[in-house]
Amino acid sequence: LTSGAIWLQNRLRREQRELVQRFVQCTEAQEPVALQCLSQNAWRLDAAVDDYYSSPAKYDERLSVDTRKVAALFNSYRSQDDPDRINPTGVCRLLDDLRIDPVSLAALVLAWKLQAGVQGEFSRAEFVTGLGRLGADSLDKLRSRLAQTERALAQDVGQLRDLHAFTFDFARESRDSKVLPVETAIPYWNLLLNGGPFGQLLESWFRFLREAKVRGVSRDTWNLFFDFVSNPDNLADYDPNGAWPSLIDDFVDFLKSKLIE
Amino acid sequence: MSRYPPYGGATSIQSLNEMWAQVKQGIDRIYNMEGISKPQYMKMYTDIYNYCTSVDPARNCVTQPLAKKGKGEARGAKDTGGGARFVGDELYTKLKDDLKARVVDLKRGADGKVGNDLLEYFYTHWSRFRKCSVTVDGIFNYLNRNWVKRECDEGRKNIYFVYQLALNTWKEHWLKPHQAQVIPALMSEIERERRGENILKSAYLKVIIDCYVELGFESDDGGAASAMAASGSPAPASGGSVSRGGSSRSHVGGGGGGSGKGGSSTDRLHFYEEMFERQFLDETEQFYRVESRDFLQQNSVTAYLAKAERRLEEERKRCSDYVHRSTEEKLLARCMEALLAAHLSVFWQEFPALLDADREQDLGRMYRLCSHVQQPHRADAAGGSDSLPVNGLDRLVELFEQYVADRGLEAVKSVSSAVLSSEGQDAKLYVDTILGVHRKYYNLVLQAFSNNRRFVEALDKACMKFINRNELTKLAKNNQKTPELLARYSDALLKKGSKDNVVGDELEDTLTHVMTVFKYIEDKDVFQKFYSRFLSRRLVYNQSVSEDVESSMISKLKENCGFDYTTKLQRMFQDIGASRELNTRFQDFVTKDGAALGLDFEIKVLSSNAWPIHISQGSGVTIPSELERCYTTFDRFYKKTHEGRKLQYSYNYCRGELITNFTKNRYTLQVSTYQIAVLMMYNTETSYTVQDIAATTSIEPQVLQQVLAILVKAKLLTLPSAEAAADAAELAPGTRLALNQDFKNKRLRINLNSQLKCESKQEQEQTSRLVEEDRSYMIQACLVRVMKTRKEMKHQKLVAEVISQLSQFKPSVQQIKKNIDTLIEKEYLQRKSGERDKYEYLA
Repeated sequence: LTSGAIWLQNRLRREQRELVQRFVQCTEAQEPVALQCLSQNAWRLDAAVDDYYSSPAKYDERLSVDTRKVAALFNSYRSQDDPDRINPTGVCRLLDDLRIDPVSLAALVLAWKLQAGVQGEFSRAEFVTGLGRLGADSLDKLRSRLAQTERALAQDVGQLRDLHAFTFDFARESRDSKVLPVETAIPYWNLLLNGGPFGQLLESWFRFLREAKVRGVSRDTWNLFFDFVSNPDNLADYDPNGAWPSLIDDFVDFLKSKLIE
Repeated sequence: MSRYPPYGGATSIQSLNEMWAQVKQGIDRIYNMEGISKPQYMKMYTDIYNYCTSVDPARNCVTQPLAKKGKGEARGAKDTGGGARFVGDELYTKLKDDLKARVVDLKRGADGKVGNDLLEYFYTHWSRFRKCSVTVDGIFNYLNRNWVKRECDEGRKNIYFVYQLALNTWKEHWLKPHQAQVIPALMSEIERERRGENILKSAYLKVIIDCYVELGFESDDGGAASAMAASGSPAPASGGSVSRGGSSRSHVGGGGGGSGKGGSSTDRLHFYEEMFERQFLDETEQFYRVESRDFLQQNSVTAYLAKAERRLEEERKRCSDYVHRSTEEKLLARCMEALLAAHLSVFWQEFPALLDADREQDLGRMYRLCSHVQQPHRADAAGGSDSLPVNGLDRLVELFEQYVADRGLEAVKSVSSAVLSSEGQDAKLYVDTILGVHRKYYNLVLQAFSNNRRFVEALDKACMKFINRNELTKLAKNNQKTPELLARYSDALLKKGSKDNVVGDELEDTLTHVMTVFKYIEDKDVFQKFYSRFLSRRLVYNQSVSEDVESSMISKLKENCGFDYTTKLQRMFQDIGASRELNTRFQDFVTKDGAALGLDFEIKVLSSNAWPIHISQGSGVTIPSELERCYTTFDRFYKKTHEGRKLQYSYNYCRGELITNFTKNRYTLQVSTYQIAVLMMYNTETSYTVQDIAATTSIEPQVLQQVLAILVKAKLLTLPSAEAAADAAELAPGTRLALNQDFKNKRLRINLNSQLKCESKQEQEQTSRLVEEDRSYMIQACLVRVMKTRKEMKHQKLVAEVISQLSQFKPSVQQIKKNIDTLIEKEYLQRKSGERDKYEYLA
């Protein structure tokens, strides 16, 4: 495979080489992996990255996991009452061992990668499939894979959007909740969007939510707020009659009135 | 006739020269207007006939080869079969030369003449020549019908029927040499007429101009003449006939057969158009350009409009007087260009001033004139603006709309503070003000703008503008004030004993006017809410002036807004009818039961979903024991027939009458349930503290304060003297209220049942809240309806569709968006993944 890949790489067109570079930047995978993954996804960077993240072991042998080790890891954290579940205490211990702050982005990334349904808990199925996808069967590997994923978020808006959308479901109080209370939403937004390219609007947004006494944010508004801040043009030529949720209309009005002041 | 047998024998053959000498004499007489007798005419005709039918071998030898050259065998067969040769070539040439000599002579007579002299000469000699030529044509009829016709059929060029030969001779040898003088003379005559000077008789001009039309045959065209020949059997001796006028000629065209080359009328007009019409049109336009510019500099626009209209009329008349009718359309177009299109911007400037001054006639004239202007006028003639409208009316319509809207806003502004500040709000003043503006401009559209569709639309738009949002709505800080006030006004009209009451036809008319305003209201749902509130009060309190008028009003609303709009209103009527019946049955029940109530009792049972009556919290009251029997008996009665229905009492709508027994006069007090509850307490004792009253009646303190205030104000209850001076704004719980045993009043019936303040305020808030709720439902229902059929839709399209479907009010985009948000939350809709501005319907 390796020699074949080199031969292939020699024949790559310039733009394909660029794609490989970007893939590597994004995922920190080896070049041959990038090549293989991209060629299997018709040279579409987005699709390839998604594919790589959802099942890295498929491309990277180093990421294949020893299921017995994963099971042993799960067992060391599981709850005594429910053998198929890690309860909040267990999760705290796990985060501690991973040296991850429970209220950090890294903790949220872990939940996302494990597709956790409930805050502060992991089921056995979530844990096993999640670690399998990540290609980690030890704490060290898990820690490095998570760090890698977190770094990748800064490069890849698609990944961040995915995490952002996941957060709404993860953060809400119950499966039936249609809205996320503002006081819950704000810390999550801080984790997800602060410091990034969209950070500037964030403070105004929070101030607006508080001043307008908005109580909750619907899923639609949650998702579209991400779209809204991810492109500065959205604000520059804002159309109040467009398809944005009305809370964002109100926010733009708020920004305008502040600007006038 | 006897001297000249029809088919000439050798004896009567004359040589051509002999015959011609005789005929020429006759022609001379004809052209000299000496007249010829019938026998003379006949002789000439016969001479020519004989000549033409004679067969002169020698002559034939000369002509035959020439005539026969290159011709088909059919001709030969016909010749031999007929036995007669068509002879005439030489005769024709002689005649042609003779005519030419005459015309050249006439031409010389006109040499050196200019202006009127020339035209007069033209008229006199042309009409004479033409008339005489008709006679000559008749004399040469046989030649026409045989030799000329044959030659033409054979396709020989430059051979004409005799009449046409004459005309052609005139054209070539008189008209063409003098053309350069005739046209300027004509033009100056017409211009003099336009300046109002005396001119030659217009009949002269007509003859001259018709000459151009009549001479319009192609040089090789025998059409007109062949028609002449066909109808030109031996003519009366006097020669010529009036029936051969130029205009009738032009109709005949090639219809006479013969040559088959009759030109179409447009071809025939070509000569006229080239020689006369083109210059005439140019000069006309030039004349009016100069005239209109000069006139406008010195006169008002209205004077100019009148003049322009007169000018157009004159030009129209000119066309019927002496210019050919085919010119009319072109002439008027050019006149309008110069007189109107070039000055549109001036008219537009003047238009608002005319509206200001109510110059109906001038406005009508401006409208009529501008509506003639259909084409964009040339940019160089414009006074400024670049985007020139295609139609002269466009700008007027725009200006009119703006003007009416402005007048409406002004009118409303001038009354708005008066309307709002007067007690109970002077809805009549407001509606009358609106109607005044509408009626004025409605009539104007009718009278001055002949009810033109576009002006009607402009009026509608303008009314919509100033009726829905104006100074008054701004002042009231309520964009829905107009429908509210309109509903109030209808209430004032339909309520018994109101100061705005009118009767009979006048009431019907006034309600029709209300509908006029209603039509323009955007928030029809707000009107409905208020209307139903007022209607409910009228019905509950039996205050309607007439049930017929009420239902006629409802059918008017139904007509305008459809069945749904009025279902609740109609339901209310049904309930009232049913209640009437119910009361009768209840009376029977009471009698049968033997349990007399001891008082008159009437009740209305109304379905809660149709009536805008809400049992609000804090409207409760403990019914005095005297009344309680009524309630329990009725409950028993009602439950028997309508099991499962829940009766709720709206005490705040109830009222009763009390009779005072403690006073010298027996007063009848019209009071509310609350007041009954309070006053009945004084049957046991004559003085209570406010606290006592509150405890016994369990009326909410806020309501009780107002109830007591009214009773104190009416001096039925008195405050202890120490507190009498104090402002009765709030009665302390310990305040003692005593029955005024010396109560006196001028009237025996006293109405104490005025509406409570907090109640009316509450109702108002309730109404606007209801409106908002209903709107959300309507928008959501509409969104779901649309999405259900379309499955997927872009945001903008969906919004537009919803706006177009909702007729009772005009939803804002923001409102629609809020409801889209709600539907997404409720999972009726979702955004299509990857397309932020597209929604999908979730079944």
